[in-house]
Amino acid sequence: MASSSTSVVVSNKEKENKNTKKVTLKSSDGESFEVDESVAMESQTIKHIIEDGCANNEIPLPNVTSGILSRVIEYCKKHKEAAGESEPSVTSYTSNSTTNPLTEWDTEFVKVDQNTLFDLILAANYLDIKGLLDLTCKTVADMMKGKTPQEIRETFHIKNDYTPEEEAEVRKENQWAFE
Amino acid sequence: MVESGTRTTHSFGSRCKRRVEDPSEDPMLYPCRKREKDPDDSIRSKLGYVLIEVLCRLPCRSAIQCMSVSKSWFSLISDPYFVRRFIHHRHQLSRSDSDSVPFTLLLQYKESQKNILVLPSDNSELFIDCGGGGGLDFLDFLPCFERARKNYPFCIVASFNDLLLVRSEVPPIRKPSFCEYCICNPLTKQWLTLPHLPCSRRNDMVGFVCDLCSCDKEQRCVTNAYYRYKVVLIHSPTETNTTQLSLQIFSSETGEWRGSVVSSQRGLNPFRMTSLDAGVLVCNGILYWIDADKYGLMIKGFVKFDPFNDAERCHYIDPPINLLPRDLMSFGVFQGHLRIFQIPGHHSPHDDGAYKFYVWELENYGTWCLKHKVNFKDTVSDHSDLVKIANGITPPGALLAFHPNVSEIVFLQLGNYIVLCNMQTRVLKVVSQLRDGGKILPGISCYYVSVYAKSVFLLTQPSWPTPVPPLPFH
Repeated sequence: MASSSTSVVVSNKEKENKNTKKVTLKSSDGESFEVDESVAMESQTIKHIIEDGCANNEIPLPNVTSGILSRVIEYCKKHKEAAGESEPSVTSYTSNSTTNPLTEWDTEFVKVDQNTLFDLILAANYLDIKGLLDLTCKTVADMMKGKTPQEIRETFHIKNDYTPEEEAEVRKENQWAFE
Repeated sequence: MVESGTRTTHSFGSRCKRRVEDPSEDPMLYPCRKREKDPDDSIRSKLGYVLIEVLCRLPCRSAIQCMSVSKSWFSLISDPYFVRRFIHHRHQLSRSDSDSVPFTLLLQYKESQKNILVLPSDNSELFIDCGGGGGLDFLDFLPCFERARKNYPFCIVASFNDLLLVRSEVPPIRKPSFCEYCICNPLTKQWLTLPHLPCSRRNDMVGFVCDLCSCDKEQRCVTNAYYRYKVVLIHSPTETNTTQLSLQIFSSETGEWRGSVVSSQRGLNPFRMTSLDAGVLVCNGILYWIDADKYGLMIKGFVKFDPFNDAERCHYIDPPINLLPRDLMSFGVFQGHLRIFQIPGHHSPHDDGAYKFYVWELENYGTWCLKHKVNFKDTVSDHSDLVKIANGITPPGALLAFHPNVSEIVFLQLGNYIVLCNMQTRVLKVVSQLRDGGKILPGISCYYVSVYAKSVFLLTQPSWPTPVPPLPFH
């Protein structure tokens, strides 16, 4: 009994040491974020930088502002925690709550204004974080689904540069999709 | 040469370029850089090409509707790169869920009355309105449809994925007479007509096969935006035991019909009922048809012809077992494998009177493997007519098609019913009933409509509709 409890204490200490590997990410506006390496590696882009041995002290991310980066890190932390000690978390986002336990959290996460949402999409694309890209793109796609082209223009403030004849021709050539 | 009904000009916006002139303006590379915001399209200016990632997560119809949002959106969506990305994304999604390719089973029978029966799967988006009369009206967008109205020969002869090959004729009593083939997509209503041929007096069989462009060999993903196709007219041998077969092949790459003679190591016999009623099957880009004995009654084997990779000769495949008189055998395809459906006839006095059926599958190394074996007496159904037919004294059913997604499910014709049979659970379920000119035929009667295998078309729906004609194959 006593020996087994000792070995448990020892292995916990080992785990602690493993987990403390950290990496610093620097946003475009100069702010530094220290995160666990395992969390940062949710990003395939960062994962490759680390694996190629190019991450010295800091990894600069000139394409991501601090505001967006902090949100991205929040996403990665949450998803990494949920996945546990295993390899990178759920590879693809699904809104099926039986397979994705974070559905509710994800839904709240994307309740942001359009511009922030677009920035998140760009960051997820640049950092190559599949789950975040799926989540954010699907959110915008859902804003378009079921809407007529005019409604989509209104939602996203897009100017219609077709003449009525031109627009009618586009509809005619793809009539089946408009029925 | 080849006429088509498709978009021929792209006047809205320029063709989408993959890279902008100045990389520092590319939102994909520098998303946070302050740039001239396009006041007229916040999402496009912000996301740039990453908008593709959003649009490819829309249902296909919605993505196409988005073409009419603005000219720059049109450019983005009509670019073949978008279609490839769309298909690729769907392909990745389907790998995690179980494969459920939408499909439509289309039966054409009693051609003179132009009967069509359409059975879409639950997730099928192809809606074919056959009207009350159950006819070919859904093809009325074809220019050759006027011949159908005049009651000239007009029928569907082949299908490939979501495309149909239709043949119409102006018969020899009228001058000039000719035969015309037309490829069309019944969903998008795009079509193209092949150059005319003279009416043939011989027994011909037709095969239609497309070679899709692979967009990602690793993931075995193909894009149907670019493809080449061939229509192969197989002339019946005129004598028994022929070793040379005469074909006429239309190739999309040449745009013309060319005659060709193909050699066979085994002697082939003239096409008679057994071969003609079964028609030509396509499996993995290769054409198969039945070779029967000189009386045309018993199946001797299958002829195999690969028009893209091995067009000089055809090969022969022996059936799994030697057929005896009164054995029934038909063939089909399941997920890239040739399958045979066999109902052995009653041969010996020891037969207990029950009919069984066997499903054989041709494995990669050329051997046949028995996949399923069902005794009709063991089948169960909550439909009393099916129970009667299954236990009847004549062979109860005929094969229509193998379910494209589920190995153990098969579509059969029992009486005048279209039945789904699960070969593992032995459950029979009625999915439809044959009609004649709109009138439902009695399930059990002394007259059963023959639905020939050559007129059973399994249309599968890719994640993006196949364009007709295809984009130029590079």
